[in-house]
Amino acid sequence: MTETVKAKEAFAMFVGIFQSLTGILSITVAYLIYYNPDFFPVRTMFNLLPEHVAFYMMLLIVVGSFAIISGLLIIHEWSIRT
Amino acid sequence: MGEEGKKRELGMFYAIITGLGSTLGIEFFVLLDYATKLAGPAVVLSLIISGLINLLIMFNYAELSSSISRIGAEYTFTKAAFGGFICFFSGYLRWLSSIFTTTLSAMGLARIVCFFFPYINPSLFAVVVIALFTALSVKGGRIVDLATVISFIIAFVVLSVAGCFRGLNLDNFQPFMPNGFYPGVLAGAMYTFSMFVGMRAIVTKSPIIKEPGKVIPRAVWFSTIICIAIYCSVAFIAVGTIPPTATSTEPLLVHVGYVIMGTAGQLLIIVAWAAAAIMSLATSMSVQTSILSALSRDGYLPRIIFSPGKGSVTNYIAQMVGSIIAMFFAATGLITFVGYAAGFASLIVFALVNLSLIKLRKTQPNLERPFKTPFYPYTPIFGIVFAFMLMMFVESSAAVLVLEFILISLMIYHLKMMGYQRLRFAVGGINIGISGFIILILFLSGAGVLQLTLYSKEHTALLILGTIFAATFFIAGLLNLTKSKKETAETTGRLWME
Repeated sequence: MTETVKAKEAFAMFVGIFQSLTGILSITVAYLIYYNPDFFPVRTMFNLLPEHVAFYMMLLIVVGSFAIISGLLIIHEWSIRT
Repeated sequence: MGEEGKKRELGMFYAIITGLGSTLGIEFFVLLDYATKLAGPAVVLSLIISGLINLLIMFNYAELSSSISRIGAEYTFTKAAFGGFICFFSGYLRWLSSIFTTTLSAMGLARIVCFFFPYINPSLFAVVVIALFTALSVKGGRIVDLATVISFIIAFVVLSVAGCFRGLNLDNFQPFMPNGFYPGVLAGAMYTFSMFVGMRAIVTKSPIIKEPGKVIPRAVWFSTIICIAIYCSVAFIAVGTIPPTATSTEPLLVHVGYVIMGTAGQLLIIVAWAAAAIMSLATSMSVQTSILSALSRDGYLPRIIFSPGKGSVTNYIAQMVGSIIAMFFAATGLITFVGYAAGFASLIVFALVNLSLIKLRKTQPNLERPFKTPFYPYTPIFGIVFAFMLMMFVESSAAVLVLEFILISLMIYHLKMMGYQRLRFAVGGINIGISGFIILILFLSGAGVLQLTLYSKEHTALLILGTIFAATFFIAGLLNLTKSKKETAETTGRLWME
């Protein structure tokens, strides 16, 4: 395996993991927006109106799920033993 | 022998016990509290309405399960009638409703435990209970069902009879419908619908029930009538003892038990409550695992989830997927919300099963049907209409959540059904699209066209985060569109072979 391929593989793995993590983060933020806990009141922090909460949650959950799928796909595609 | 080689060993008695064991669960203890707030003393009427609608739908289930006597219930019926997405969709929603029931059971157990140990965090306790049940892989059984049903009936009968002589105040029934029939009673019916959903357990046992054409409809009929009678009598006593307007931090039935029979009554309810929670938790967890495995077996979900045998590693993967989601909802501590979500998901599945009945009567008129639902086609049509009618009373946030899960189901289905390379290209394209969209939003916000009501510090943080997100999505898109290591290896292999 050449150094270039190795570096490309490592980079792809990093992007895959990072994207999956952003997906998890998005879904967690969606949860925090709904729950608005005292230790991290996201809704209050970003001045979100209660009638917009469902929309933001939907957006974050859909994008977050997609990011997880896409990240896992990259990890799967670039971690195959050749 | 059943169609799947299983011995038909369940008679009428155990079919009824199965129905009662799955229905007389934690939902009644947990949901009755808020249902009395919605409907007032007319909660009794709400329970009768939801029970009768459930009975109507269960007759349709009985016809389908006696003619298609296979494991999988709703999933199998929709598979026979429609196949494809509808089949996946019904399985997925059934799985979702089991997850909500798991959450509800864990929250119910947490509520009663934390009532006595107030220093324990109920949400944390519920999460730990789900994790523990997942690790131990606890499952119910026939003897456990029988013991629980008998203890429930004894507890409820004792409470109802004692309540008639002590604590009952008929003045509490005035006004009978403080919120009116609409929305009060109907909203109460929607909310209490989950209390009867467990009745479908009879149908899931159809492959091992003797003479399913006779036994299933009769068992459904008897179980529903017994459940309506028990629920209504306890609700009547509860409202008659504690007026719905009363405010108390104590769970309603525990309070009722104490007022009627003192500490002994309180203890009776607590034991029944804890038993119900543990049994519901075990049943719902095993149901969600089997549904996920079936979806995976049929190729709708990744093969890794399919469970080839009890106790296998993949069996735990199927169990863990549902448990993680259940823990997530348990952490919110929102019992009312989860109750609504469970009812909403079940109602959609019920509507689909009714539709399957109509479709199968048309497309397969010669299918052997040992039991035919009475008053066809009005029964399934009424079932669909009532299901949709009750859906109108779901709390909007719970409906939005279930609809979001439906969107995810669409995404999963299309991703799975696409060819692998097409899927990679599609994901790559969507990634670049999302990245472009984020950049556009950031640009509009920076130019002042889009007015975000944020403080400057938060606005800067959002800009930095947005840029990182956009860059990640863009690079991920390119990686999905370019030739991967796997593809390169395949091409090299092919050239070498040539």
